[in-house]
Amino acid sequence: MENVIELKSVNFSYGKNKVLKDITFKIARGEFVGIVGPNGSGKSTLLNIIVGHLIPDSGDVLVFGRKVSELKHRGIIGYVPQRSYLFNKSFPISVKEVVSMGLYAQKGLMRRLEREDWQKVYNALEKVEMLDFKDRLIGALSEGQRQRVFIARALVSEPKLLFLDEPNTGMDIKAEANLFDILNKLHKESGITILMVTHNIWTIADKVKRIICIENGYLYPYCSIVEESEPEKGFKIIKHIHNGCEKDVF
Amino acid sequence: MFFEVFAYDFMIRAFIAGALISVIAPLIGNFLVLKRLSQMGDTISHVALAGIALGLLLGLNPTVSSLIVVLLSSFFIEKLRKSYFQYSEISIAVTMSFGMAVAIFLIGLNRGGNLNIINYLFGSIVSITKEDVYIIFLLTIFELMSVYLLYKELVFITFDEEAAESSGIPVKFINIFFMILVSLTVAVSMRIVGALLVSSLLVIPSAASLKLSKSFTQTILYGMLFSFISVFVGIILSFYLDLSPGALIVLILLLILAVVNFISSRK
Repeated sequence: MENVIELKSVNFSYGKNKVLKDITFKIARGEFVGIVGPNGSGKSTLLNIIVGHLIPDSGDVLVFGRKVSELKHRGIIGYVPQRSYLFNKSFPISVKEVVSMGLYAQKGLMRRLEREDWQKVYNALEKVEMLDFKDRLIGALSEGQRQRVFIARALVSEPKLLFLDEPNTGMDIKAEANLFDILNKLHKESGITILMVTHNIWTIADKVKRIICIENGYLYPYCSIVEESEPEKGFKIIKHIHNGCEKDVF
Repeated sequence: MFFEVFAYDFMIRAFIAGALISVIAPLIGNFLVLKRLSQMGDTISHVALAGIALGLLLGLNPTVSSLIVVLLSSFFIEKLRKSYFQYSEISIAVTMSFGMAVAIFLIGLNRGGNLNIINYLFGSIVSITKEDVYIIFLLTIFELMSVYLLYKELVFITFDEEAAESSGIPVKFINIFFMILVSLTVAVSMRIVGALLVSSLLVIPSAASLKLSKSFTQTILYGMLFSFISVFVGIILSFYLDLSPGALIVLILLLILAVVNFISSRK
C-alpha cells in the first residue's frame, strides 16, 4: 500500500535539548495511527514537524512523497491543533464561520466564499453531527461540541490526511466516546488516513490498529495492538512487544 | 448658539477627520483586542511621538514623519512579537521604551521648538490642517479596502494563528501588513485624541461592542457607532468648554462602556 507519510532519521532539538532522536517510520494510506507518549516526550513536536510548522535539524519528512513545504495544495492536510481548546471563548464568531476558515487558503487571498463553498461547510458540519449548531456562537458550545467543530474545519477542504493533536483534552467521558465514534465512522466511510497524538494510551488502545510510542525522544513503532481489544489486553500486548512503553503513563 | 461650532473651518476639518478616525480606529482596534494586543496602540503612539519629534526637529510635516517612523517600526514590532510569541507583551514594552526614549532625546535636541509637541501629546482640533484631512481620508480608503480584501484571512489569523499557518494562509505577510495598518491608524488618530490616549480609541469601542454583538462584523459596526458618537460629542464639548478633545472623547467612551456593561449584566 502507498505510504502517505514517511520519516527518515529525523532529529530535532530545542536549543541544546534534543527532543527527537533518529525518528524513522512510515504510515500507509488509510491507516488510523496513534502517537502515544508521556507529556514532554516530543509527540506534539513530531506532529508539528510532519505538518511543517517546525523544520527538523536533520532527516527527511515526506508527505505524499514530497516535502510539506513543496505541497501545492495544503488542503490535502487537515490539522486540529492542540491549543484549539484554549482559544478565546468570547470571540464573536459563529460555528459555520469557524468551519469555513478551512477553505480560506484554497480560495486564495481577496476571494470571497461562494454558495458551493458554504455547502461544503454544511457537509463537514453534518459529518461531525453539528449542522444544527451552525449559527451558534462558537463560545456558546461545550468542550466536546467545540472540538467537533474544529474537526469539521479540518475536514471541510476534503483532506486525505487528518492530524489531531490531543483532541480529547478537557472532554468528559461521554464527549470523548462521541468524538471517537465520529472519527471511526469517518475513517471507515471515507478511508481518510488519521494520525492522532495523545498522552493517554487508554484513549486509543481499542480504537486504532497501530500505535507509535515515543519516549525520551526515541520511537517504538511496533506496538501493534489487536482491534477492539480490551484496554487491559491492549496494555499487556504493548508491554509484551516493547519494554520502552511500560514506564509512567503506560 | 449651538451651530456656531460649524462656522469655523478648523471645526469642519476636525469633524471630517474625527468621522474618518471613528471608522478606522475600531475597525483595526477590534482585531487588536481579539489578538490580545490591546496595548499595541500605546506602543505605536510612543514610536509615532518619536517620528513627530523628528519631523519638528527637521522642519518636516510631523504627520508624514510619524507615518514613516511607525511604518518602519511595524516590521521591528512584528519581528519581536514572533521571537517572543509566548510573551508578546515583551515586544510591546521594548518598543514603547524605545519610542519614548527617542522622542524625549529628539525633543531635548530641539530646544525652544517644542510647543507643537503638546498638541500631539494631548490632541488638538485646532492644529488639524487641510493636508492632514487629505492624508486621513486617503488612509481611511486604503484601510477599508485592505480590510475588505483580506477580511477572511485577518479573522482566521486573529482567531487561530497556528491553524491559519498550517492551512497555508500567508500568515507572516498578513501579520506584517496588519501591523502597518495599525501603525497608520495610530499615527492619524493621534492628531485628535493625542499620543497618550490614542489606544483608548482602538480598545474601548471594541470592549463595549464585544458585550453586545453576535458576530465579528457586528462588533466592528457597534465599535464604529460608539466611536462616532464619542468623537462627535467630544469635539463639540471641547469647543464650548475649551478643554482637550482627547480627554473628553475618552471620557465619553468610558461612559458608553459603563452603560453597555450595565445593560449586558442585566440581560
